[in-house]
Amino acid sequence: MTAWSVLFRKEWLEFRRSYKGIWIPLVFLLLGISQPVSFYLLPDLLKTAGNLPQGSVMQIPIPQPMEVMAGTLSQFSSLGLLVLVLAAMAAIAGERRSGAAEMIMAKPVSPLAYIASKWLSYQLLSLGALLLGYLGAWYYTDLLIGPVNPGRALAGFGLYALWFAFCLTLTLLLSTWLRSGAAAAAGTLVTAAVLSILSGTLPKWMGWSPGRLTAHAREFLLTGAPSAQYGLCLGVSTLLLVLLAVVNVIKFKRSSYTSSE
Amino acid sequence: MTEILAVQGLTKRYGGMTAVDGISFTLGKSRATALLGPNGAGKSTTLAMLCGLLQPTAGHVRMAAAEREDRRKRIGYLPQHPVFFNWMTGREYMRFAGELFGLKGKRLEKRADELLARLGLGDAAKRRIIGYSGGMKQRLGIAQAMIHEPELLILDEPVSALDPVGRRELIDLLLALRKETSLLFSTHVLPDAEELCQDILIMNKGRIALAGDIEEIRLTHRKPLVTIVSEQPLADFASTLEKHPFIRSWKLAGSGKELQLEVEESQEARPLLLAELARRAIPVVRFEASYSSLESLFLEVVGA
Repeated sequence: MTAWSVLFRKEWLEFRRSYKGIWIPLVFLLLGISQPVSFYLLPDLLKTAGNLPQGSVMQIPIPQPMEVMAGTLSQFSSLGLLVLVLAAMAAIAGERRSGAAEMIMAKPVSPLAYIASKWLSYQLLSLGALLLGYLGAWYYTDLLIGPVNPGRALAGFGLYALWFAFCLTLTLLLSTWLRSGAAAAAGTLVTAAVLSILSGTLPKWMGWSPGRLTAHAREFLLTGAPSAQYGLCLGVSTLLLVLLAVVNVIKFKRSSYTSSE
Repeated sequence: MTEILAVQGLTKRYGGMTAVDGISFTLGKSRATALLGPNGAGKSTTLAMLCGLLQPTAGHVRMAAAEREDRRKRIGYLPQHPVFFNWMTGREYMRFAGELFGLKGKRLEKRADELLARLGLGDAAKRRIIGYSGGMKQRLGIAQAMIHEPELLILDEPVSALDPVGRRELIDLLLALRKETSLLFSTHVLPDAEELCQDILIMNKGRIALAGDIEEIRLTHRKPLVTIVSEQPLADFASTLEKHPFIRSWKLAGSGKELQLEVEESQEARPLLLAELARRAIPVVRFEASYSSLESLFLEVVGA
């Protein structure tokens, strides 16, 4: 048995024992379902509010199924991302600060095995939670609003998953680098926000930015085709993700594993 | 003496501060060695480098017959404050540690249970570590360091955090363990080293101040001493002694009524001193010939 798989299984046991493996997917499921359900119930809710004058006519545009799906994804990228980043921020910094990492690294474990086990377990947790939430949204949109185009929905999901993977890789790198969970979370959220805002305001210059992934996902859902410079964005995002993961291993290797200092 | 570990010019600098300053030493196979020194001498930094937890600024560490192999496979390490995963049970952590060393299956289970029982954790093995006391965590730390039957067991200040009972138990345990493996542990308490070790390494300010077999050191560095206690002050008497070449140094204690002499060779010094005392009719209360202790040597080399 390699050290890598021992550490990977330890992460999953920790997800189970700390309930991270349960409540994070649940949060995503709730976020996913709430979007189609609230759209569906909106007219009724307004009716029961009941303070509209007699005879007033209100026209609420009936949302398209794909708009609901796009709305779900933007829910994920705010609240969902926050939850994931908070769950992963101390993954490495916490173990180093406490000294648990020192106990592990005194055994024949390579820096790559340590970082890779963390990275993969958190990525799988994130992907699973995202998928569960998305399937929930898909099911209820189909049931309550209208048919969802499977091809567009899957393409949108794939792009969102890449955006999440990118953010999580950044969190784990900062968790190694800054040696503080809070700093890692803040660093990730600020970077994600800056990338998104710049991509929105300067779309011509920021075509390469991973922050554009969410916009492409939205375009895919609504029109079935991405917006301009889609290939560039996809390539650069993947490359950056790999780069951040590699830097994480190098940073970890160069640092001391002891908790003091 | 066959050596198990050799250290050459090991150095660690943090910015302008040198924590460990080019130390070299060897550890003997099947020997117990104490790394002694005051707080801040660089003991923990040295141990962390030996265990591969810290990259040395310069110098290298070699384990016998393992040039390329990862030496962590053959070393068991207990940090000063062992930290586990509190959500694991004692047995789960033992299995986790063993698997990281590549052990598995029935053999691992058996070894883990044996060690837990031996360290008095048999009953607690199925409980979560979060409920363990400090002494239990220390023992679990030793058990997990022994899981792969290491050739060298390295312990960082294993006794300093324990109460007298825990300390006694741990020393008895280490006395038993040293029959199975080579041992290196750091401490700032000399009696622990005297009780447990054949060899000592004394560090001070990042350097090795003294190293070797503890009995040899005791013999070669011991100094003959003569202590004279009188009913009246001895300052005048002391100053008259300076003409004798066999007096190396002297100092007064006990409000001037106690004179401590470090002498060249007490066989020769004693009759002369006694004769002098008699000639001056000094009211002697006590006259004692002895040797300096390891404690005073330790204090001397660390400059306290």
